[in-house]
Amino acid sequence: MLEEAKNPFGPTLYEARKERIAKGAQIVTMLMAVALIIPMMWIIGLIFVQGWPAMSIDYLWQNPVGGGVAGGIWGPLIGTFFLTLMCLLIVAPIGVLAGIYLNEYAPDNKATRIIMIAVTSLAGVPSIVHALFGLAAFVVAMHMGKSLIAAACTLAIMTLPVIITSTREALGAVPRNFREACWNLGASKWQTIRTIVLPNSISGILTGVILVVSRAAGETAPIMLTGAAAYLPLPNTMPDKLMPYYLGDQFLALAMHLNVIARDVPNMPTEMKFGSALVMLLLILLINSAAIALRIRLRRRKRW
Amino acid sequence: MPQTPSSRKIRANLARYTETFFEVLIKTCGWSAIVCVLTIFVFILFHATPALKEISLWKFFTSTAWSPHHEQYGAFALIVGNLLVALVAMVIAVPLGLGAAVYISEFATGKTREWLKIGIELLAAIPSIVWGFIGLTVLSPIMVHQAGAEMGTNLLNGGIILALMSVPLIVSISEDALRAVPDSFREAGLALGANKWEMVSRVLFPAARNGLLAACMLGVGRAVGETMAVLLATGNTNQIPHSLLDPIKTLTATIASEMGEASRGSMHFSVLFLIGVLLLLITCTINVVADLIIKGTKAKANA
Amino acid sequence: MSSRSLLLSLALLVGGLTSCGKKADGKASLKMSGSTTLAPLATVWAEAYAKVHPDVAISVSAGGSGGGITDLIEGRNDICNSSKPMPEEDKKKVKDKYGKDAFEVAVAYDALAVFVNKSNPITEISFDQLKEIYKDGSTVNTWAQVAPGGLATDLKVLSRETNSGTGEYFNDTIVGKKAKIRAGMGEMNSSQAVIDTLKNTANAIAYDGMAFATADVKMLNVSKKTGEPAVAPSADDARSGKYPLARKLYFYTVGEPTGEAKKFIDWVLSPEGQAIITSSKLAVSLK
Repeated sequence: MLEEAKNPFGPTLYEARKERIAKGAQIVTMLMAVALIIPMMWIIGLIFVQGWPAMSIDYLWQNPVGGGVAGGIWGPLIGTFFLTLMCLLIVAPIGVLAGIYLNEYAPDNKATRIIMIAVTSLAGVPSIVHALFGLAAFVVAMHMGKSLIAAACTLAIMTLPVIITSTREALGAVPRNFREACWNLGASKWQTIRTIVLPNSISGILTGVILVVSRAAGETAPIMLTGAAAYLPLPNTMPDKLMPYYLGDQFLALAMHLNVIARDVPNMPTEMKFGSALVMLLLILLINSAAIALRIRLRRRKRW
Repeated sequence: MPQTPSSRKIRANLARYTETFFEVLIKTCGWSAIVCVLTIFVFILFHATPALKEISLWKFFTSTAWSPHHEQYGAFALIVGNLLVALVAMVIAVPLGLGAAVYISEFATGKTREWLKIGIELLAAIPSIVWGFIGLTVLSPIMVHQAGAEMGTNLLNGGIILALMSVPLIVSISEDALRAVPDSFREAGLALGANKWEMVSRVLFPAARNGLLAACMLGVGRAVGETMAVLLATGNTNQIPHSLLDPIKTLTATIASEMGEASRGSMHFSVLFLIGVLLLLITCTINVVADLIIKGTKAKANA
Repeated sequence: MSSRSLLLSLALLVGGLTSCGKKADGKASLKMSGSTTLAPLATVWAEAYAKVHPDVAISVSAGGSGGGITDLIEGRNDICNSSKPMPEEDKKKVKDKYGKDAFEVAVAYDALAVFVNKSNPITEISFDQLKEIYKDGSTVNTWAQVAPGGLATDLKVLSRETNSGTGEYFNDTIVGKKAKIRAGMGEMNSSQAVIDTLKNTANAIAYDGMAFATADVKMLNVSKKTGEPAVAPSADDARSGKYPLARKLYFYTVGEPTGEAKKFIDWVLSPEGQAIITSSKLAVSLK
């Protein structure tokens, strides 16, 4: 009573309590959001601190010695590079064209719904099942053996949904009037896509490509069963050092290397372990930052 | 060059053929996703059939004796392990994820929102092997020294790691769901005198309920299907845990660690593929249901 | 933007195709796969051999002894690394498929050590005690039952995964061939995991190759029967057989080794190859 007499326009006790709850909720949710970022920063920091002593130009340039106990990680690094390159060469054309189909050509019927469900299901398949599939289909049934190409095909199937979704979103962002204007001028569907829609969505598609690279570089299970080796003799002379792997043979990869040194190599010095983890982490973060930067630039550059 | 009627006709025909060629190519690629999913099912099922025919499915689902050497394939403890670690992960990830999504979508503004979203995206990008490495080398000593666990790699360790891995997925899809609620809802709520939190809890949550549910389901799907992180972080003990600090073994880790040893064509090989079938069924069901829920929401919103 | 991306994709295509075109360049290749215990040693051998014979490219993968045997049967490798003797049914498969017997070469000894945490006061253990701990239906759950006067806590039993060569050797020797073993053990799927877990778990007991020992864990002396003098794991005692948990590590080939495989195996068995075992401390040399 007394409080209300003081300020008849002020909040009642009930309202004041609600305000406190609202404020509290804001703080709590903010803490929750921050609580997610903190572990990430802590993990990155930890890996950095423990792995930095091992880093040097030599570390990046030398091949592993003694199974990884000494030397560097050039072999796995270049292996990951070629692996993701091959994966991209396979998945990018198919994925982009599939995205074009889904956004431009697909009629709004049951069949299209099924395709969309298939894309979602494919995205949800566990990585070890992809590994089993790669083993059964590419290594055995298609007689590729445990090889770079088998692993690349497996990763391609795994990352297909990523590029389909990115392409669809990129194409969907192009306004409909662009297409209509083209059609009114007499252009055919494919001509419209080729000349107007694709060039305007290339940044979005590129973002999808970068995400594919990030995914393919980070996965271990699929390549473990389809071709990644623990140790390979690698040439230390140029130019062979730049391209030490053959399509039909086994290879080293960063993800597999990290798996091996975390588990199977005896007396592994701690900073080497963390050094490899650091390189992998930095690589992935760099790739993803590029995707994010591209997306931000795309948003700013939009002319419509 | 003067355009004769015939050269014009040739160019027109060429253009039409190119157009048709590309359209056919595009349509074929469009069906690629379905082809992939079906092929995966076919191959995994094919290699699992010997197991389906020979071993007792009843024992597979109810017995905890997993000893391939002695032809024993009881996967009950493995299934329980998989589900439990996903459960622990969700208990941590769902509240955190929903809370963070609410904050990013409703309360944060401008630069803060940008940076938070970037942070969450980078969290999503960390590869599973690095997470497993963290669980094994960083969390494990903490478990032992701070939490008094017997074994550092255990259910809780795996659960925390999985939670951090699935949270970005939950956050991004929840955020999409919250964004999809039309502003008119928010304005109506505020106009009726609700403060921000009341508007969120009483207007937005019910409106975005389907999308939020789908986000959680997709998070569960991610947690159930994860392999490398649980392989390194859960302790690989085939048992039903009695406490959070007990080690467990998951279906995914079983395939990953035993595949190298199983001879092609042996029953062990086939049973591992059978586990693959089980995982495929679980994760596909979760994903399809979640997708249908999201589509249902969109249809309602557009209606 | 479009011409730049075109250039980029062209560059990628060229890069991809060049790596495509690179097929075998005339180097002889030798593929080894199998045991995770042998893999580090095989790697060191391969590296040293490459210095002497740069024309041979040796690759090593580790998927477990069983995986190596499968690879041998399937023809996917030239030499199978195995830390357990090849089982009869697999030998039969090789004979059926290739008409030749699987050729076995013992290339090193490995002392299997019983590890405990550094804080554990116990110093020795016997086969009988180990059998009691590791057999199926074991009732040994506390350290007091094993070593009265030492640790008073529960006993945490660790093992290797179901199909590991190391695990199989231990089980066959201690519990009995193909006998059932204790359920609910912590199955470590790699030797490093064993050491890592032991470091942090005070009441654990585990086994693995002596080569994986670090300063963080303690190895026990082992005796065959309780009451007999217990022997510490060491290279000499493993070789002479005094240390009871010594096993051989094997190379297997289809039929007698020929060509590059024969040259490599001969080199491994030579004093040069055997010296590497001792210097790398990864196993125990034959002589």
